[in-house]
Amino acid sequence: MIPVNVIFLYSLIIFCIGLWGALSRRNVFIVLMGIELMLNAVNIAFVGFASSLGNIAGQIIPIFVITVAAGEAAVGLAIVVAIFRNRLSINIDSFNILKW
Amino acid sequence: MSNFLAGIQFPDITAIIPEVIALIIGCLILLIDPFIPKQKKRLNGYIALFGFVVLFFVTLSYLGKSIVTFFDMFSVDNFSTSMKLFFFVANFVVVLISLRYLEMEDSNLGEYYALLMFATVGMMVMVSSKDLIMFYIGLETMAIPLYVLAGFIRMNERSAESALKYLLMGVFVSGIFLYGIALTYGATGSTKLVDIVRFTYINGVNPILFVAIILIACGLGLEIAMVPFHFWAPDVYEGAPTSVTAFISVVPKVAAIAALLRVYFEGFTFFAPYWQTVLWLLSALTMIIGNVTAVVQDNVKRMLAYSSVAHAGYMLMGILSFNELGVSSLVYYFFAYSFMNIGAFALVIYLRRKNIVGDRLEDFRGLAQKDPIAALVMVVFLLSLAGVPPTVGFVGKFLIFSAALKAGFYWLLVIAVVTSVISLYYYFKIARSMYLEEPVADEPLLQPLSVKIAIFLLAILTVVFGVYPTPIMNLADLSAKVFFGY
Repeated sequence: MIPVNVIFLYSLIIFCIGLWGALSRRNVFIVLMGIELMLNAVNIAFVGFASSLGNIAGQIIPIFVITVAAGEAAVGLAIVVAIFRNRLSINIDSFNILKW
Repeated sequence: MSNFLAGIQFPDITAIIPEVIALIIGCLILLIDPFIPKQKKRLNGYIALFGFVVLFFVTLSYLGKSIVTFFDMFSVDNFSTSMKLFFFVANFVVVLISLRYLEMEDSNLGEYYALLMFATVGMMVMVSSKDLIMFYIGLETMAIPLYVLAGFIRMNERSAESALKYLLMGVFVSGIFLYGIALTYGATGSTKLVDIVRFTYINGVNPILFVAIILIACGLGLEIAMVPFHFWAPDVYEGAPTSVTAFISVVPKVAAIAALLRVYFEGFTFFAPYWQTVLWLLSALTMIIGNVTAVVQDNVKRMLAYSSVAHAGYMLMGILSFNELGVSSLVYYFFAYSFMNIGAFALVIYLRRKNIVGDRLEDFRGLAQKDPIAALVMVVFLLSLAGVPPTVGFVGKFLIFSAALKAGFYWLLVIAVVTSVISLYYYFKIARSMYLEEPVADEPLLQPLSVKIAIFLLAILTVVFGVYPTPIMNLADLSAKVFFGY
């Protein structure tokens, strides 16, 4: 059995990769992918903790997270389509009408 | 089969009747919307208005009840009930100001009211839940309709851009929030607030939970618009349809603060000195940055956005006081804030006319000559936002400041008072523009009736509850007893 520390470290690394991707990339799709990676890191952490604690709740929570992530992705892609029709670009730096 | 079910208690369904009704009304609007001809789309709005009135009275009957059900995950108590009553009052006014505004923007669709209803369901779940995963589900049920609402006028590139910014920030921060929950689960073995507090009582303070507390504050801090996560607020408030801005700036913010309060008070009770320090810092920064940045804005929606960031700082003072007065003053402040802030945005909608959004400072120029009553009402809202005596804003600020004083946060109090004085300057920039400058000759005001009703209703509430605050105070005291009554 893999020790829980290793699983936690693994999820932390995945989370940081996702965080870095979401913050540094300029393409909206890559940013959304980075965010998905963050959510999946959370799922790994939940399942790892659940198996080490012997508690079933942590294995059910990822199903909620996946469902919500799917909803977010659906709305997110719809909004990207709406903004692409206006701007003909999916680069975050080009969305700069609103600023102070 | 019977053995399997033997140990499971059937949850008390009566606790979620208001949520179910709200959900049914939302679905009903979606269902009948296709059968309503294009000219009569207002009917959807009337259904939503009626729905909020019904929900208000149904929820009113829950006042005084205390039910904890769904395996300690869902609680109906005076705090959650008064928060729900608040949502219905605020949403009623938001629908009232949306009716004509959506027609002017040529996007009068039934989905708007359905999404408003679904977001409300999410917030109702948020304030009632006693489990971190329930908080997350409620937060997302609220947030996903909000992203759509922010981009509701999708042919308008400002609206679409604000929706995208809101979505990216929201989803990003919800990931951080979830990681906080995962850490809490790993450290304590449960996501229920009852179990977390029991675990920390028995096993002492776990260092992982220090990180978790900050991550949870970050996750809820986005909707609160507190400082490290306030960047979206001005952009989204400016780009979103004004009626949606009025909604986003008040109701989700209040729901998130109420949720943060419950998580910290009931889940992380034994970490109080720690999260008080964290919130002290965040609250001070939020007040300073919000008020100082608002000074240089010349777009009224943007200025009000920074002012709402600053108000979030005042509200955080109510949480970090961690005493009974803090909670009751916070509940009072929620009501006060909703009257004055929705009122100020309603005035922006009132100025919406052909080709003019009504959110630039020039649009307010000489309003006192064009429409003296509207200008006077706007001054009432501005006085209230600044916290000048005969208004709700004053009573709310006074209560929150005295709660912080009672808890001994003197330096925070100094910052709060100084920044309140700064806020007078930018609120009176609008007043000066209305009274001391000559009007520009442009399109005449439309003066829609439903917006007029909403504005006068809010102005009356602002003044009446400023002079006679007892009814809301009683409700606020009842809800504070949930945390400190025993």
